[in-house]
Amino acid sequence: MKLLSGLRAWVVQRVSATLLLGFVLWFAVWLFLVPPDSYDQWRALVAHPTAEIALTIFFAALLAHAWVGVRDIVLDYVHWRPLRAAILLGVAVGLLATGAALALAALHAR
Amino acid sequence: MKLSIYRYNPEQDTRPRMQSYDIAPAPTDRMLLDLLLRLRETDDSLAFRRSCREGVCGSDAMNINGRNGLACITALAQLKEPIVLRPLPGFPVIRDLVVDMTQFFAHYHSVRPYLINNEPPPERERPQSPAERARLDGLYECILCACCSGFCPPYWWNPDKYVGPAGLLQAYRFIADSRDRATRERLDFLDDVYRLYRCRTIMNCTEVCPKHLSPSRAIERIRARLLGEAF
Amino acid sequence: MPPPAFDHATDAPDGRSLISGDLQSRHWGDRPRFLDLRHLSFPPGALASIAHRASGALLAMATPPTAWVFLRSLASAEGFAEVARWGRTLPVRLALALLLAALTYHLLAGIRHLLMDVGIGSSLRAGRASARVVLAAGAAAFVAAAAMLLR
Repeated sequence: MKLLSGLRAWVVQRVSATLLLGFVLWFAVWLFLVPPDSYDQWRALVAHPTAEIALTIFFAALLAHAWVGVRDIVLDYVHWRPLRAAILLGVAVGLLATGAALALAALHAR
Repeated sequence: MKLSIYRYNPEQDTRPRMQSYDIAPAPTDRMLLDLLLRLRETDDSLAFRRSCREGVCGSDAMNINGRNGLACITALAQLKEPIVLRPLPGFPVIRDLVVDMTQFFAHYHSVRPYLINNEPPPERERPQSPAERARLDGLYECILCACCSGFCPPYWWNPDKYVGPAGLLQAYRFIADSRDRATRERLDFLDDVYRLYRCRTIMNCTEVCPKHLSPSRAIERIRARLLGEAF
Repeated sequence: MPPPAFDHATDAPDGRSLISGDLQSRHWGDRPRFLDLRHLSFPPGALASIAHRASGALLAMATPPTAWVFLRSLASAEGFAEVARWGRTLPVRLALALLLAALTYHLLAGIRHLLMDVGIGSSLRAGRASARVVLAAGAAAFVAAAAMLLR
């Protein structure tokens, strides 16, 4: 795979898509069957080790998938290189910040 | 029959415009090209390319009632009036329905659409089994009319960097050829965020191909090949 | 270093590359181009694709705020109560209905693409039919989500 390979992004998009599909269905079913009524219930649900791992992979896949998708849109429509770079940088920072916030919150909760 | 045709003469017009026509077809006029040639009897300023009149040269590709097609094999009986004719979308217009195909052909050239095999040539032909030859069906028949690339939104947005369905179909024609030895280089060339991977499988290309080929499937096969070569 | 040799196959007569990707090669020549989308007829696959992109863009923009709300609901009992309160207001329920519909559509259209990747439904007929199915399902999802959340 080359440095500026198109295959890599495509694989990330497809793999993350499959993971997200699985997780969304799982979470949807779970929340439908056991909707949390209180803060304690909700916290307990998320703190469960399986849930923690699932949510970590879910958010990692979500951020990767969002990045590839938005990057595709920007590459399609924005042709002026400086503007394209600026927009992509902004999006990358936004997604990384989201990831960092989630990761730090998870670590603080322990 | 009523027509509305895109007109643009760089020597006279600052902007393109639509011109209406109303012409009675002769009983022998069955295809759109017949009507266009009849139209030129009264208005010979209308410019369009045409040659074989049987759907094999690809010269008269144009946008007919919103969809790309070849005028010579588009039946008049199938067309709603007024018949709206415009040049291939996204291509620079030289005049009226004649577009500049240079960039389109540049992409075709860039995929090296010829057999690359530097092994010493055999005494006679390079053998190919019927099964191997069958893998070229649906690929070699392309007439480079550009109906597909002219209907492909990613090609509209990036006609300089995205190779486009026609070029990619031809690229796959040589990747799939058992006699070719440059598969790795061909795949390497296409493995680029623009060249191949602008394709979103919209399938507009396959919808309008007048030879009923499937560039979207060829692109799918290239992606599978790239995946296979990497893992 | 000498300038690159003129490539007859891929260079314009003036020497600029037709396929290099700089802004000039995109607008090569000052000829007009016909690209008025209002005058083009779009097959179902094209509509399915643009809806996939639009729903994806919406979901991508909603991801950071959603993550923020998610964390807030877990931070404390007050946070949880606050989020529950927001969830009962009309604008939020509207937004949720929209996002839920977008998610459902994006998921279904995504499954269509994943199946096509492995060769299922990639013929013209199958592609057209599956595009129609996905668009119809998306519309239904929108109605269902609106009905469910705007009660």
